[in-house]
Amino acid sequence: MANFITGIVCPAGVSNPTIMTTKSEGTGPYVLQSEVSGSSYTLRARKDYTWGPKFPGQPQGTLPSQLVATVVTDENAAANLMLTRAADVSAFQTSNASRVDGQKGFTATVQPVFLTYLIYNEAPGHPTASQAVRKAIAQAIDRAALNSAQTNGKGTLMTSLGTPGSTCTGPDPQTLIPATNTSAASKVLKGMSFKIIGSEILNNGQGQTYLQAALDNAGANASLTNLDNESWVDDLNSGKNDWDLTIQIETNGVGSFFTATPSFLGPVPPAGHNSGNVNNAPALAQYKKASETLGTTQCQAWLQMQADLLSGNDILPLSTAPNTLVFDSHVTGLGVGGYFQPGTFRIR
Amino acid sequence: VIQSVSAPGAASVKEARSRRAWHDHPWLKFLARRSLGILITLVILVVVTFFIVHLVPGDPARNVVGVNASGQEVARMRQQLGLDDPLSVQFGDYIWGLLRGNLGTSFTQHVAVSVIIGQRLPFTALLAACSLIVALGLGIPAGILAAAIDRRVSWFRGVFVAITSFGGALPEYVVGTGLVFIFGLTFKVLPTGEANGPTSIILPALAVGLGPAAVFARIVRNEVASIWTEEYMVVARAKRLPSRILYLRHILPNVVTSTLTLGGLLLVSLLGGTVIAENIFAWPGLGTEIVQAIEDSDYPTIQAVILMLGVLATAVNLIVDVALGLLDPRSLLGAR
Repeated sequence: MANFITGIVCPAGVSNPTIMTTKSEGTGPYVLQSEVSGSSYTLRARKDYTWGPKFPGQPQGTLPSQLVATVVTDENAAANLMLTRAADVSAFQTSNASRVDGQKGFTATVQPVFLTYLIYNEAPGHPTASQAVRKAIAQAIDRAALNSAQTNGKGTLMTSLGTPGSTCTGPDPQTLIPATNTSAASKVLKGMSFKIIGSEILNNGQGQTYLQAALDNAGANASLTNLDNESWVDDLNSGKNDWDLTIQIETNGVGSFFTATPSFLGPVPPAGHNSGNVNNAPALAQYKKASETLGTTQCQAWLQMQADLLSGNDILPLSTAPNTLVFDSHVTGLGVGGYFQPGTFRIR
Repeated sequence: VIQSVSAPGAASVKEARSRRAWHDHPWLKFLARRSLGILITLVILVVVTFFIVHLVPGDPARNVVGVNASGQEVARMRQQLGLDDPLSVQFGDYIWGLLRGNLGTSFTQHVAVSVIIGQRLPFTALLAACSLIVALGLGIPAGILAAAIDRRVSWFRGVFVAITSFGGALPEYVVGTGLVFIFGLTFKVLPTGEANGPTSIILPALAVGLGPAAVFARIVRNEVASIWTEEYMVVARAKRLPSRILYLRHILPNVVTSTLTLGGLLLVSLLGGTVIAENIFAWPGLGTEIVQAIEDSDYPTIQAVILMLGVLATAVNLIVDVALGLLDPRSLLGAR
């Protein structure tokens, strides 16, 4: 079975791609028993399964013989199903998590699934092409307040560009993140106009709404267009450059140090993903070096790239956006990168 | 014995009359007109749906290959999906597919849309049917009962109108959320979602059907009040017939015609309500499917689901019209 994050396809799928839509193949702990496309999937445990990863902290218990995964797009409905014990396991990104988390009979784990950054459009003609303006914008923002808006405070303020928990650490990059200073920001931003676009995927785009309010509060005139996630991605990758500011949302699934780096360095759209048109040659050189080396050398290159980007005010790390993974009391399991690992599910 | 006398040319006049009678048969005229109407409706639906889905924001190809795919990968997928063809070519392909019974393949689920429809349509049809039962089953008795009470209790009419107006104005998502809170989360007597067992349909059907039931009740009450003063009812009452006979034999059949007409219109609107209710109750029908398809810009699925809902709506209208024609042949004249 293909893994949607890594793109790894089993040998049977490589030799005959058509089987990937018609039958269950691969080496996972479960095989597909039946499906209603886009609605529900029933998986049966392999009786002979003895291989696979040994996850640290694997809970004890009985491996479920069957998993029934139902697609429930409305988190209100998912919370209702959990509260009425019609579902055993569910993940939440919205405030619906609080309806279940903390209730008697449920255990919850909060894990970062997205990393968020403020991206400035540095293409010629945009007010954000000026470093002084970019710094002032960063000063106009209270990152904690923005976190409250876009994750209901469930996220963690990011102290670097990297994935939280990364083994590659160095000098505290927070010293390069401008502190909130509205009066200093106002001196630069007063009377300026900015166009913000963003995705509604996190809390219906409340992070962007906060950003607009913060800029208005600093004397600027900010307009906001919140789009569905797909349209937002299209716009960023179109190369139209019809925006000045956006909150970049990157998945944290793979767990590498800088999963988001191509989104703010390298080729610009439509050829690449550097939608902010960042042209930071020292940072790009370090990125290339990190891509070609390993170990300490690679780590040093990552950290220098980070310092170059932050000191150039090319990017502002904001906060993580978590998934809350909730289990009913008789079930347990693990999540990695904010996603369930169904092979770790156990019945207590 | 002269059995028959025929004037010259009389046979041909008879035949002509017979032919005219055949052509003039109200049922044939009715069915021909309705069939033509359905055909035109479906053609308009197909054309409008095709062009509307292309207004849905977002690039389907981007959605298929993912947010991190390169511009080249997106372009390759656009070509693969036929999205870089001129709109006229895409439309021609779509129509040609429809004529061959091919609804296309879902961009995101990679299965034939007909399979998706086949899996989901029964759930939506069941929900719509149960909702109609709720609307009629509660609305008609409540309306008749209200008319009966109305004649004895002077203040009742105002209260009844207020309650039914309020009930009829409540949107499905408010009713649905309230039902979930009361029966699912507080008393835990009914399931709040998914299609697991016969009790799963109760709350979704109530969420969709209660509003129309309130509207029905009001209309039926008015109909009964109006019938009550008709001459045949005055005669029936003068005969001191029991209430059971009055209502079942004289009132109910006369209420049915207007109720049925409204029922057809309501069922069509119920189909819209099912889309909302299905999402509240995670009901695996066409409503949840179309919402997801729109979010994914899955053009073939959106087109097919709308077409199916349109076919369902026109079929219901046809059935209602036929039923009306059988119950009250005067309605066939109205259809001319």
